[in-house]
Amino acid sequence: MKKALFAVFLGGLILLGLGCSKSSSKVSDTPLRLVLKAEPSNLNSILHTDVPSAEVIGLISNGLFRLNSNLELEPDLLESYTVSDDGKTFVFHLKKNAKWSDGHPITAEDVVFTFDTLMSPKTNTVRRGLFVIEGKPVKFKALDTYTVQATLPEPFAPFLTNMSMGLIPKHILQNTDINTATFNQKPISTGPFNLVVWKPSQYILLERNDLYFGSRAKVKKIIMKIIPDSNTQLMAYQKDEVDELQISPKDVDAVKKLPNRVLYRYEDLQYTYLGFNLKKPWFSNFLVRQAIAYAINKPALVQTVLKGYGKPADTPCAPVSWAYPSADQLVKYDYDPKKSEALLVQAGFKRNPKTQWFEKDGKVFEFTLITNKGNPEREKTAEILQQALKQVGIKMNIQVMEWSSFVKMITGPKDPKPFDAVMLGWALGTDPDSYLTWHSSQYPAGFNFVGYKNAKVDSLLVQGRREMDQKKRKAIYQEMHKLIASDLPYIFLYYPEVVISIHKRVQGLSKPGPAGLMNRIEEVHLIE
Amino acid sequence: MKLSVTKVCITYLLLLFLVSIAMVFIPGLDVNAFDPNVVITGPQSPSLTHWLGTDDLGRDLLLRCLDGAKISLLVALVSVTISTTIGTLLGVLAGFFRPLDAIVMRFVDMMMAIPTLFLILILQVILTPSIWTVVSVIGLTSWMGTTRLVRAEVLSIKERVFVKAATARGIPTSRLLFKHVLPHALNPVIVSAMLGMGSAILIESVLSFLGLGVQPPYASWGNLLENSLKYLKEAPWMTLAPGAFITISVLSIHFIGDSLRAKLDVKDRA
Amino acid sequence: MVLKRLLGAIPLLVGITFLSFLIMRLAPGDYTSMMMDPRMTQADMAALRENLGLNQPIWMQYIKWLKAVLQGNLGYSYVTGKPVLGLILERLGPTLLMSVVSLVLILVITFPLGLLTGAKRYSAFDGWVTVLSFIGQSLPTFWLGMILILAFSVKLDWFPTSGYLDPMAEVMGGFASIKNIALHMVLPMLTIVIGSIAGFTRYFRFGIIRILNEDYIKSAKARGLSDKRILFKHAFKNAALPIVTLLGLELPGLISGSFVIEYIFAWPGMGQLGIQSAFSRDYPVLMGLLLMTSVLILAGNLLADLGYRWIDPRIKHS
Repeated sequence: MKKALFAVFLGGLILLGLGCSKSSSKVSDTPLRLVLKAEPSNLNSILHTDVPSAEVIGLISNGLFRLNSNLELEPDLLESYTVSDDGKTFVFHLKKNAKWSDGHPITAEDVVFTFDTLMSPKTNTVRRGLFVIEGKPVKFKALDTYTVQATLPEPFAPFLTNMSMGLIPKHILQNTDINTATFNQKPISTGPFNLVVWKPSQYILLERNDLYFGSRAKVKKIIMKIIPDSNTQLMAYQKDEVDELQISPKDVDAVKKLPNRVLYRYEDLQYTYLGFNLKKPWFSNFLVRQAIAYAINKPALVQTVLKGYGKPADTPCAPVSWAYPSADQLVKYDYDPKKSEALLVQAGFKRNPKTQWFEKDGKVFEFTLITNKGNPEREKTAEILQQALKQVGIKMNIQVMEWSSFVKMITGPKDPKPFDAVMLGWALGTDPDSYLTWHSSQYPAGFNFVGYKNAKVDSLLVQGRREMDQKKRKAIYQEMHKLIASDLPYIFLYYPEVVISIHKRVQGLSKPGPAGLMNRIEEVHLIE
Repeated sequence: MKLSVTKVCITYLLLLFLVSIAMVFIPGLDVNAFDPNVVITGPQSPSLTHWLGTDDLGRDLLLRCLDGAKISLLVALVSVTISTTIGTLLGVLAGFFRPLDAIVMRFVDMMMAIPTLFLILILQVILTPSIWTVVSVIGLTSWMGTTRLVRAEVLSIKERVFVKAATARGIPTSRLLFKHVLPHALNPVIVSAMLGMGSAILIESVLSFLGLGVQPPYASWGNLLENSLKYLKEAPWMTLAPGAFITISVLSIHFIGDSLRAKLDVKDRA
Repeated sequence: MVLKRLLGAIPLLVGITFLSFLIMRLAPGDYTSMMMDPRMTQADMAALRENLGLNQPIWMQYIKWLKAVLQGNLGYSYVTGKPVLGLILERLGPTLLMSVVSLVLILVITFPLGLLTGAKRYSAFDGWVTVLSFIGQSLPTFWLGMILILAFSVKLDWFPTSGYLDPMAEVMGGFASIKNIALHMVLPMLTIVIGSIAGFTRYFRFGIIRILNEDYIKSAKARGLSDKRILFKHAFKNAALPIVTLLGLELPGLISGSFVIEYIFAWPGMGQLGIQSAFSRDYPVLMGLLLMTSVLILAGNLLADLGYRWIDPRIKHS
């Protein structure tokens, strides 16, 4: 009798509990509406280069690993893996229940096919270099249906992070020209969603993939509207035509006034900087670079340009990264215009009392800063720097260049390069390896376009790639960042934050961070 | 009634141009200056200190619009000069010298078959956008209409009695061209040039809107507009001021061109 | 005569395309320089240029392109790998829709306007129409577009901010789709129409003035026919004839202008494709677009000329 009563009581509690949660937030059937800031170019995991393509691919494809909200690697298509003692041989065991959206199982053949295609010189891709170490490619071999072996020529710490790249299906793409395959516009997926419709320049419609090997997505449809103009994006968000929007700092106040919205902000893996052409006579002088550093009021810059949504930067690493230096390792340059002028005098410059410009050997200290068109925050920063340098007697001209010509000017093979100084930003990967940016071999053809050379940094870069233990790597990179900051090849300006406004009806969000608010898209759902 | 409107327009344009140029010579006046150490919260609405408000870096908008006037007007003037010169030259050559007619007109047809704005866009993307590229590109793509006009005029004038009489009297070709033919041919060209100026201002503003025109920190009405569109809702004066300047200036040019056309038409009839 | 014109158009097209080809290839930087990606090595860039055929001499690249075009193949986009012809054809629809409907609307508004202002020259009505249409012509198009969006879409919520068709409406199909597209078209069309009223009105105005001064009208007046009857029976009919000519002449302007409108309103037409391809240096698409638009313009000119000669056989073939 007591037992029965208890059971009824328990049953009642449970029913009550269920009833309560149901009435407080009814799950809605409407689609999730997102924004793409430009038209994706193609939805092929190994070919795409632009952000919108990456955003769509992130929802429909999977690699062996994935990044979670803490920026850590998690197994995705992977079941488990082993690595040899010398760090050169990896054996990956794939999940056995994973299928493509057309029903075909995902096997080791797909993995090997993906990398074979990637390494083929006929494939127009940027990612090949990720799997080429010291000039030798990583070799992939299928050991059995669900096991892949990867052999590296050298131990390479960033290797596993690179293995989060998505796979492409062998049974569809073999014997086709991957660059022009129709798959690129009509892919099949491995992920929680399938591509249903891609209306060029209008929208992309995704639907839940019921064959997904992971947990079933809670939302049934996702509409990604393609809206290239920033004003139009904002207007669409204000009219509730989309559920989420990344907004620029100046729009925050307007967006805060909208009802039923939540604002998230987080630091991103990127920094904006002013880079000097170190081969130019004035900029090769450390005192001159220091003088310019002291002339810039970084906190005021962050307030004016980013409206406080960001932090001043002092090192080539972002605070969210695990390799970020500790406080005592940072090299700070506070705003001190008097020190600026003193350093210039020390470097042999004299102020012309009539024009107020500093001069040396009869020439005015004048240079041109180039930056790319299309980034309003950078252009504004350039104008602020111009005024700041004017106050300490340095004449800086600004040239805003179109992207393609800009890239040609800074990465072309000419030595010395034709620019004086450049303002740009780096988007950092989750792995702190920055060999391509700082190693002296990456000049003149490569991304070390300032011409930085420091033997100790060179050796630390190589060491960091070989060392597999994260604690040891952290020490290596911290030391390296301190050295670079002390040498001042760049003036690090700021870390911009990402600010996202999202409607209250969107639930199931992840911890705000560079891995995205909808890191686990399967969890996201809408309530009434 | 019409005459006084024209006078107002001419006065407005001249005054604008002169003030804009004069501003260059005022010592210590830098419309692009602001204090980088003061945190600038945002654009200020029109007030007694700033009649048209300020932009997002705290700079006075009226001053920047006036400063931009010289660039926008100069771009219009120079590009139209280029296109009119090219057009007139080619038109005269085509109209006067039979053998050149076919080649020149084929070339004109070819250029006219390309959508102008598209061509300008492509050219600007390829070149490094600056005042000079804008002026050259507009000048080099807008001469076709003038060529056709001039050619038609030259052809019709050639048939007129006084020209035939002059040729019979043995007057050299060049003198014929310059003293007799050209002055008559130029009437429609002047009107067309005026309208061309108006369209040059509009093209410059479109190019700057797309980021392919005059670059900051130089101010032109076009790039003032480009910067202002982000602030359309919270600071509409940033958009209205340069937009109004463009509209009023182009309007003035149209009125002047229109009355010129009326005057020259009457003259021709007589 | 038509045949002659068509044959004559071919060297024109060759000239246009070769000139454009030359300009694009001589430009500093090409598609590969768009890819500033730290992951890409110099060897990869070289391979990319090789694959895309960017290393061959210019005239060779042009001949290759021309050969392919004559076989109906306009190449593949660098950016998406999609066939260019397909890309352009799928964008043709929205652009034509917008252009044709706008043109019809413009004619419906300006024809009576032009005739009335021409018939009542120098009246107050004429003055007002002239001033207002001049203002419309002097407004920068993109500025007008943004202000219309701000006023009618954001503040009043009468129309959507941009785009062509909402996914939900498309799924419903039929009348709902059509209504949805129509709603999306209002603001961009308004922007186009306001800017074009001046030109068209003046054209009809001059037309009617010229006709009213014709001898046969003057004789009709002398015979005592009422003004109204003259207007309706004779003048109108003749003033309507140039419409075909007008279509041919205005087409280039509409195609050119479509770039800006489509950009602001995110209208998925050829103009938007043109801007996107120009910015990303997608040469195959740009060449295809140039070819297509030039063909359209030449066709329009041919139509206009034919129409002109048909109306007025007195015009000598010069």
